[in-house]
Amino acid sequence: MKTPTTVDELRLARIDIGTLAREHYDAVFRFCCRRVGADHAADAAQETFITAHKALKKFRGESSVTTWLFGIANNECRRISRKERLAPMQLEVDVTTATVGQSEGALVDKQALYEAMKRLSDEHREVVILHELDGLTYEEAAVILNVPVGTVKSRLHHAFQHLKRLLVPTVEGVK
Amino acid sequence: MNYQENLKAYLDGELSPADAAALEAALTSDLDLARELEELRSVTAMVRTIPEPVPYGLEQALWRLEKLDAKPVAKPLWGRWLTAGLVGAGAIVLSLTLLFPDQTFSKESATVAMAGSKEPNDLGDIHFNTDAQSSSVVKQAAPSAPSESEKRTKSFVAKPSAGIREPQSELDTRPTPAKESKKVDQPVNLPAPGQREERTRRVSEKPLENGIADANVNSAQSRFKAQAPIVGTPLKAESHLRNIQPVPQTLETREVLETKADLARLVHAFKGTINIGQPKGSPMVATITVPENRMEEFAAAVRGLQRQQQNQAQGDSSVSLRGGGAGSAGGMGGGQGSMGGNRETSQLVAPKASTAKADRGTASKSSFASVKDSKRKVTFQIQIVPTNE
Repeated sequence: MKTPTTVDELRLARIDIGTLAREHYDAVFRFCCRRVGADHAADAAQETFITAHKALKKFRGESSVTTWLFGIANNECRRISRKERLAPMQLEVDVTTATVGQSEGALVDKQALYEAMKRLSDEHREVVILHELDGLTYEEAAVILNVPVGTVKSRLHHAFQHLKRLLVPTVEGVK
Repeated sequence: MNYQENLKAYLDGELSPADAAALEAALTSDLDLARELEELRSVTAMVRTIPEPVPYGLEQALWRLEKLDAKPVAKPLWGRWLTAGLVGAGAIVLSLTLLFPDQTFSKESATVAMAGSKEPNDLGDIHFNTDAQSSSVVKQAAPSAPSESEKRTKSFVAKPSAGIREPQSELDTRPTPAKESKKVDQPVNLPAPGQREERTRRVSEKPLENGIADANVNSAQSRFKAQAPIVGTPLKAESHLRNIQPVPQTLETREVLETKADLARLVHAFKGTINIGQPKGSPMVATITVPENRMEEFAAAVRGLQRQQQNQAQGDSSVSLRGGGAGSAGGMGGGQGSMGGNRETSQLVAPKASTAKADRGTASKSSFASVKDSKRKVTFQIQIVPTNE
């Protein structure tokens, strides 16, 4: 059975919120974890699906289910960040779980990457995470951020220019 | 075109085909641009190596969602207000019941007052007799009512006084209350012995002898008797009452409040008074005073009410009405015999009480039971007293 991608399809398929949570919880959790950290990610993800359960009837179905859930999760993460006074973009720095390689150089590169991400502005970091880590298209990121698609494209360009300046020596070293 | 700004979008496949083709053409000729593209590709690959968090908490989320689904749908606002109102009303009734355990008709009487479409001042004053043996609702036609304490004692004095004739013969001499009680005949069909029998006798026998319908026979009655003897009423009234149709003397219904309201409206239309009470252990007694010249008309109206309730009873078995036209039937025996002696009083009393409230233990319990089960079958005994007005 094809997984419904729009709210209209959800209504037609009569998929309950439990099925929706089973299919999209992991993505929502990761989305939240990158913004409020692992300690608050589960709470944010649960609140996201509870809000989605209440708002399912009101949603117009103009975007995909994933985008809709990420939009709710984004608002929930902002609420928790304000409440818990969290630093924006809680990227977990775990140098022991490097995936580039198991060499010492790879671990150093990983730490350099996190440092470079931290130096990005909030707007740039946010759009990088949305596109590169959450896997959203420019248009979907624009919907969540409520900005034009051109703004997303521009922010990504400047964000990667900054990352390139910070990481090119490391990249060259890796090569 | 600024190809450098489109490099990232080109890498991500977000460029339009035309822009992508133009950029690809530029890349073949511009080595710096091509090198920058490779650097961006490397940085993008590096960013995408950030490990994904390991999710947890799905089961808890599902549990919360199931709990959310299991919750009943919230009542609308009006439903909440209605529920709160009912609970509040129930609490008030319960409080009144506990505070005034002897007043068994507080709720029903209040409903009678509410059932009328007019203000209490239009209908006459309605007040409660809190005497345990004569709890009643008294509606006085006179708008200028005496004080509350006077009402309790004179409410049944004022009514007969309106219809009292001046003593015109030797028969007007009344016996003293003590002698009178000795002279009272034993009731024919009184159901219960002891105190209940005594109360029933007060209700059914004394009015027959005295020529008035006096449901609340107490110390006030003896004062009244001493002041206004009515034995030996004129034959004029007798001849009038002989011609009227017998009024249903017993109304048996489960719709107590509606029956009370119907009677109250009917009596009000005839400019009469009504006194509904229930001595302990006895059926409900409705003592009605109507102008003498409208007795026949009133009797017809009561029969209409009887027929109306009978029709309802056919559609709804919970309502039953009996005793209509039983002026000479067995249940009417006591009253009929007395009417022969004094025909001015059309006193219609059913000998048997089928009310479920007859065997109540305490007044407070019975009052609570009446609130709890308002569909119990209740018998109304109707006593009609003619007046000169």
